[in-house]
Amino acid sequence: MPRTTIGGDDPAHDLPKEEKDRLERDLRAKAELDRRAARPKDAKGKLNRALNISRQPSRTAQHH
Amino acid sequence: MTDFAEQYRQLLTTDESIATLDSALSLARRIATEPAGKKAIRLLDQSAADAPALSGGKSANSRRVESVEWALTVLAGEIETRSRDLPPVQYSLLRDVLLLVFHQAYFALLPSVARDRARLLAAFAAFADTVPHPSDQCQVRGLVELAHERFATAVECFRSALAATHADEHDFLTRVQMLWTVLVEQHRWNDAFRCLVDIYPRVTRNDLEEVSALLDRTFMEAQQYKPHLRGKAMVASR
Repeated sequence: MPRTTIGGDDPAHDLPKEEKDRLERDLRAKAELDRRAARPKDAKGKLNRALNISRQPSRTAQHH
Repeated sequence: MTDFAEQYRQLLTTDESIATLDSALSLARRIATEPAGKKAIRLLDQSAADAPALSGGKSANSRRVESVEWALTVLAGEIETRSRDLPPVQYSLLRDVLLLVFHQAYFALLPSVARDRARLLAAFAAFADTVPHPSDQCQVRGLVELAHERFATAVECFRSALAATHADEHDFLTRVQMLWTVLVEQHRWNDAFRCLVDIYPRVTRNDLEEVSALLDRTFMEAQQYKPHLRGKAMVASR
């Protein structure tokens, strides 16, 4: 399910949506190149960085 | 808080390095100790936040391990304990900066520490328990399991992270690729193929091309690897 918005609006310290899309797509492509070049740690580093970029900001309401 | 938010955005896009880890740790410390913005509170005294950095560790990396341990256990615990007192903006930024600290510590610091490796992994595992959202929590757990080389458990963690993510969300396709990457690295092509087929009906039009490319790669690499398997089987049968 999509994350709840209960508890207020997005605090918006994350990146704009279009920039997220662009950066994330770029990092996924680079991660795949790293994987094919047998650099598994670099690949996962880029994927995890992409996840940090793309995930929604944490919210207080999520754990109530 | 805007200044902190801007620093956070810069760190989000920076490559993994010890310098970036130090910046993320410093940012977490500042948000916790220097109230900025409306209703922000001082979560910790400056002296408490500085203690790990000033402690008598033998090397810079040992002190770093202590700082990471402090941020991911003491500070993370304090954030949850006082989550009702913290304004949502401060809470949110602190939590997200800690995910950055984890990311940088995992990819930049963990490979360079030997003696403190177990200590760092224990801090990562404790941190995972405090991460509020299930998909983020499973992602952290999955990486910790990978570091322990418990691949089957790691796969299940990444599978759970994907299951907890809606196909419309930004992070959906990256979670697909993370799970697929781990499965392919383990030469589990059937599982990699099954994972893609399972999510295919949920994929949005914009993401179809990337998912199709992963399907192609699954077939290609499975085909390339088969001769190696046949060769091993022939050697074994002699």
